[in-house]
Amino acid sequence: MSADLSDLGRFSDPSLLILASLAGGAKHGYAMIEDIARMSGARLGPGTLYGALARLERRGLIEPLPAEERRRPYRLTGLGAAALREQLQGLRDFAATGLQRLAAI
Amino acid sequence: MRNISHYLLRLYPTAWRDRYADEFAALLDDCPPSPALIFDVLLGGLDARLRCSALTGKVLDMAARLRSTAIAVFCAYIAFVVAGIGYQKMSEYEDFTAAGEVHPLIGLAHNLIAVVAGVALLAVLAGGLPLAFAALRDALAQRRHDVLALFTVPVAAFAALVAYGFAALQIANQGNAQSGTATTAGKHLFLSLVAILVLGAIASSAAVSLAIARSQIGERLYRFALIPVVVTALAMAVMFAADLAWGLGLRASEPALFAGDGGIAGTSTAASWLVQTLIMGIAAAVALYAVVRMLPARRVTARLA
Repeated sequence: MSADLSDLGRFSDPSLLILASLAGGAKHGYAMIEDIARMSGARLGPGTLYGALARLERRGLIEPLPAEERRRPYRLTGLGAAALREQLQGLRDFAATGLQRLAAI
Repeated sequence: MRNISHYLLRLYPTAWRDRYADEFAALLDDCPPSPALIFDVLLGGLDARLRCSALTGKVLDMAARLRSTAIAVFCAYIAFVVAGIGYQKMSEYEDFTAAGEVHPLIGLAHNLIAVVAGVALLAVLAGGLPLAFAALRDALAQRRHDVLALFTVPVAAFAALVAYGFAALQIANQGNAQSGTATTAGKHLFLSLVAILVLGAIASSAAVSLAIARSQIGERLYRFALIPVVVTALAMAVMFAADLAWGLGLRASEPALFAGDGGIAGTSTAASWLVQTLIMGIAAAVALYAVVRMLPARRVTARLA
């Protein structure tokens, strides 16, 4: 199981958004799309969402819960939480460096 | 969205649908339909087909892998043939045949394309006909009217092409007889004939591919088709290289001819050659990729056997 998202190609950004959304609690597909749109302004299409969900599930970063009617919620695993934490810390360091440089201008 | 979600789901491979169909259909039902959404699902379906085993964890069986490779190479071959007909039509003019006689590279490239095209055709017939007959036999035995209907598509496309070609020839000849030269209407008729040929080729190859994909055909036949499939892919690569050499040779040796209007229906020679070469290159690349992608699985299966 790999916690690295960088080799997911065009699915790495949607994957990060999904992990961040699930960090707030288990959600099914449509709830994730709405939550991600509120959180980031980006609205994922169903094809992109399930392309990323399938990859995250295969890597053990998320896991499915029993379906509620036809909608299946997903939740973050321990490995997924670690991957998200690592990615967000990297982004925080990157943002801090960028802001430091901007402050010097 | 309910109406089309069923059709959109069909874009995804069976193994993917087994795992995600219900929840994905529920999500599609929740989303307001839009062209952007349909395009997104189309891309998702393509991605799932290319990465099915990586997404679902299910390794496709050997027959399914051989089938998808054979279908990919067949579709690529049909696209290659359409471009090849354009090349043949263009290079049959006297100026080009004369250039082939004077410049060995151009002549050699042209002859190589002709010979290898024959080899590729034989390979496609050797590998494809048994599969098509098996699919037809299965459809008749199982009374699969949907599959039988698919087999009528190439017949209807060919009949439409011949009928339209015959009518276009009559109209063009009348126009030419009246004006003494090829008319603009004649060129338009020719271009519309090319459009019918391309549409017919796309519809026919899609229908035959779908018919084979929906039929129960034993792995033995697919294994038998493997060598013709590899030969076809290699032949396409050789023809693409020869076509490239033909065009570059013409550009270097006969720049005036290359810069002229000897292309399809009096268009630019260079533009016609470029379009044909591009289609041939993409088709050859798709075929080779399909073959190479299958080979590691074949080695693994052989080790396990």
